[in-house]
Amino acid sequence: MWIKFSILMLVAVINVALSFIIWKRNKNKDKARLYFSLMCFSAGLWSISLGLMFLDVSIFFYTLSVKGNYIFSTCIFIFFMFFCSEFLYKVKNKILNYLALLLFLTTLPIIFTNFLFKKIYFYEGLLRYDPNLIMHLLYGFFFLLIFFYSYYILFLKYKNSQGINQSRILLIIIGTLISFIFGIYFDWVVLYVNQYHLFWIGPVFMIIMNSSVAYLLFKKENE
Amino acid sequence: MSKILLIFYGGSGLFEKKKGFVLVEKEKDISQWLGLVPEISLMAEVKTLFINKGREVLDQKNIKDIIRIIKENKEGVDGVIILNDPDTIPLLANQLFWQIQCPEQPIVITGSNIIEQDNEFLPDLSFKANLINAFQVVNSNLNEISVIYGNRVILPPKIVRTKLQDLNIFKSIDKDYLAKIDFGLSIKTREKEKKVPKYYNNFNYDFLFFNNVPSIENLKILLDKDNNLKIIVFKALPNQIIAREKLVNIFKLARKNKKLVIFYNQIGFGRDFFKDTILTISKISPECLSAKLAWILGQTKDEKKIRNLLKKDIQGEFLDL
Repeated sequence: MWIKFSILMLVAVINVALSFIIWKRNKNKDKARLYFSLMCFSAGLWSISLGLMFLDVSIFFYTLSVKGNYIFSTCIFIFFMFFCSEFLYKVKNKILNYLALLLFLTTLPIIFTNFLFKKIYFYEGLLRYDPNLIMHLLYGFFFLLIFFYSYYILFLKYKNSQGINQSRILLIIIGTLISFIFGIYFDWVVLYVNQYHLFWIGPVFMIIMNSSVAYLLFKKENE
Repeated sequence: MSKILLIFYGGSGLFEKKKGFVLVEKEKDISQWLGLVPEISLMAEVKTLFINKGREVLDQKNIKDIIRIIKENKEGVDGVIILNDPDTIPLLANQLFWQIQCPEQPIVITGSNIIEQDNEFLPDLSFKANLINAFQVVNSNLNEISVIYGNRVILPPKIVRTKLQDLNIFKSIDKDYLAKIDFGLSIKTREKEKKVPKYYNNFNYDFLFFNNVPSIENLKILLDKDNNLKIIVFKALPNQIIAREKLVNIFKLARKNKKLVIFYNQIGFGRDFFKDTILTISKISPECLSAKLAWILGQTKDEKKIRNLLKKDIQGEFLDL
């Protein structure tokens, strides 16, 4: 348990540190960078909330961690969508605003109700929860909608770009896509194949996204 | 949304798979050209201006037109992007750096690098990215005159061309960049004295650069007092006196005919070989020295003032090499 907890905390530290570096280097207040920084920060908090689920302090604390898990993962997708629309040049689209509003509205019932999980209980001395699978499925599809829409924007930008900008977009697509695919698999799909205990692996794949961005930020050039 | 003035002064070669090269050679070509880069209209309200460069590579009148246009439009736009051929970008950028000091808004120079090889023109597939990134630089309020190419934003006095065709064809002499394109646009803060923007219309190229020291007989015509030529610059290798005796004779003749002789190298001299005689200048790029000389000769003809201005670090043009 402590190993899993430590791994998640390490992932959180990496994400929060990268978020801080991106924010600190954003002297020209570029919105795309700001959103990506917020996305990394959300990923850090998501990792922390998942890690805290291992601590078993109290049912109330556990409930907060589970809710945090949903809220911060929602934030990751919101900020990623905004990042995709702002990166290089701003894509003006009303769908974006509606999706953002809808996402914001869905976080409210997560905070104030327990509609995403059925019950919280002790199992072999550890706290666990049973998710409301139907709501969880709907929520996941909602995520996928935003996920596909964000990549649709990013792929269009990739197609219309040339030179250095094309390679930058490609690296971001690869880095984020791998992280998201594994994140979605381990934190959404596994619930339906009774492999719930693997939920902690999802955030670990965020390291791939972090690495691709860190490569862009810190790579040394041959002069 | 910001307002950007896009000046077409060569270097506009866009390449599209279906249409091939699309260039702005006349004012009426602009709308078709803009149609191929719809992204820029998402980034700013674009005002365009075409300068017919004719057959000249870099014409003095055209540069004066650019200065006048920028001055006239400074209130109405948030920044200026100038398209120019990469071959002349270092000269143009340096001249604008001297003619427009401490601009109120970003003035960014970029261009398409088309190479002719085996009777075929090779397109610059970085140009679209350079153009979009130039708009990003303007939107970032980097109030400088800068050159953007590849992932580098360079201050004109530091620019040097290193490659014929590549992702980056320019580099900064001291590897210090105004900004870099990495994950986004990373701007490096440059400590700068707050000065009032100044626009200088006058500059003149009454000087010559020599890469060797010709015989005094050959130079006599150039050093003739009735000749318009004001300054002769000899480029030297560091720590090397090239024909010192010959230079001293040239200096004497130049002095008699009220001309100025400069001994120059970029890196610096171990010793000042010509104390109080020939003026030695170093730690400045040749393009910047040329532009500075042109700017000085546009302001004064007085030799003492010329000497003082040449030695004085006015805009951070002397490099820390």
